[in-house]
Amino acid sequence: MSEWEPKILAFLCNWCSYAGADLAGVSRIQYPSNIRIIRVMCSGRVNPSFVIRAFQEGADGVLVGGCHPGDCHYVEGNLYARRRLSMLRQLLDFVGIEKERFLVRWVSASEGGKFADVVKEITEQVRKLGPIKEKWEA
Amino acid sequence: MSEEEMKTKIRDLLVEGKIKFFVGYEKGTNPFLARPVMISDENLEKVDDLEFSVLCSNNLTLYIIEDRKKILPRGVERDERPIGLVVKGCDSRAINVLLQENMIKREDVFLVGLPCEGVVDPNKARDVWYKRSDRLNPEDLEINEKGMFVNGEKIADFDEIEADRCRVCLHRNPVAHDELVWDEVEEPKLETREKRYEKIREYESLSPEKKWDFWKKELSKCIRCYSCKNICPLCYCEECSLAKDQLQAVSPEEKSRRVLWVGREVDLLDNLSYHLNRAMHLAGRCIDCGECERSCPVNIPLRLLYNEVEKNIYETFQYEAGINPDEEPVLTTFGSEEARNEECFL
Repeated sequence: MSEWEPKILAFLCNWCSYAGADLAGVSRIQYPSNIRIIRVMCSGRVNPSFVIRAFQEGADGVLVGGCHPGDCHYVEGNLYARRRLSMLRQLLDFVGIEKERFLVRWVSASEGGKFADVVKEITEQVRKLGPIKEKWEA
Repeated sequence: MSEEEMKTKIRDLLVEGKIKFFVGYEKGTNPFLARPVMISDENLEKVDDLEFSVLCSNNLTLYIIEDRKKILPRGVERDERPIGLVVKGCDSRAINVLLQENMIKREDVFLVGLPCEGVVDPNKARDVWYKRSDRLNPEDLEINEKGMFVNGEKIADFDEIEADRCRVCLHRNPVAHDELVWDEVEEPKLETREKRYEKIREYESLSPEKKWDFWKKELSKCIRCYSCKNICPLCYCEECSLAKDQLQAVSPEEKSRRVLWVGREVDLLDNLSYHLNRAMHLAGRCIDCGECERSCPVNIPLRLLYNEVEKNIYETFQYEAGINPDEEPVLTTFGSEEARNEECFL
């Protein structure tokens, strides 16, 4: 059996993080290919149930990327998202889904390098924790 | 105001037609739990049986929502008069949350405040009674704020039968009320807040494996009866996104257009998803009235989950649900300094 590779689901906002990911690709910056991207119009669109659903369906990690606070295309979407998702993060930790599996990061359209770093960061963290399926099926 | 004066006042209000109906407590068939009673001008004599005691455990706020949701026959106009209601400290905070969210207006309710020094947990009391009494006749039983008595003989202290939530309650006096049944009671001491979070901190310090083992055991018990959602005074959505139980009323096209983010199967992961989502929906809103836990048929420690969110909200935003009806709900707003701060919260 081939070695396990973490699967990471990323919700990236259309205006900053998605463009940042695009820039990372265009600039040929190397980053782990464990990530699967879903483009959302704003990080404020990310409902906590999306994240919970992702874990339930077997994603080993979830990344939410948005514009830097204050730079949101919709002015305040990411500020609501931050309040909500920080609560979700602590709640997930409380039921035993490690905090490290769920990251929220601000990546602007010009930060291709930062995007690659963020992907490396979450991939390494999740790799250490192991597959979430083991947890579900244990 | 004394109990008798209060009853007279309630009767007057009903006779004059100033309130639509009054919801209070009366002695029920369960000796450990008073029964909610709805009094209108048709059954005025029930006013005399109203009970204000340590058995008044239910949160009556739900009756406002239920009345609001009622679908009237065509041509019948909605009765816009206020509803009278008995509220304890916790219930009055639920009213404040509903006010914050524009679910009701203050003039829609007439609140009779019941300063409360703790109510009885029906399950705990029943267990104690079974264990310590040889004659199980409810007629001999008396429960008051001093303890439980059988034939005048004390069999349990009040502390033993008090509901868990009341032991760590922070707001005993109703924060919103029009009248008080009796004088305000002493508010709990400051260290109660630390005591409140003691148990949560204990769980937080466990390893992720232990935490998951615990919740796996608890959540796989869930049978998805939705009584926690149905009894919650703050779960008032017409159609619940977690439990689409009214799907039969819509067309197949409509059904197919709806995305189900939360599975409805009774298995561990769908249960996890349901309970986490519910906890998120109650973030910054749950007022810890304990109704979910009381009504849960399989005894899932739901309060633990909701208190964890409450604690996080309090520690991160210094916000408590239902204290000030004019405040914005905490997750639908943000501080002006947050736009300039990269690092906070996460």
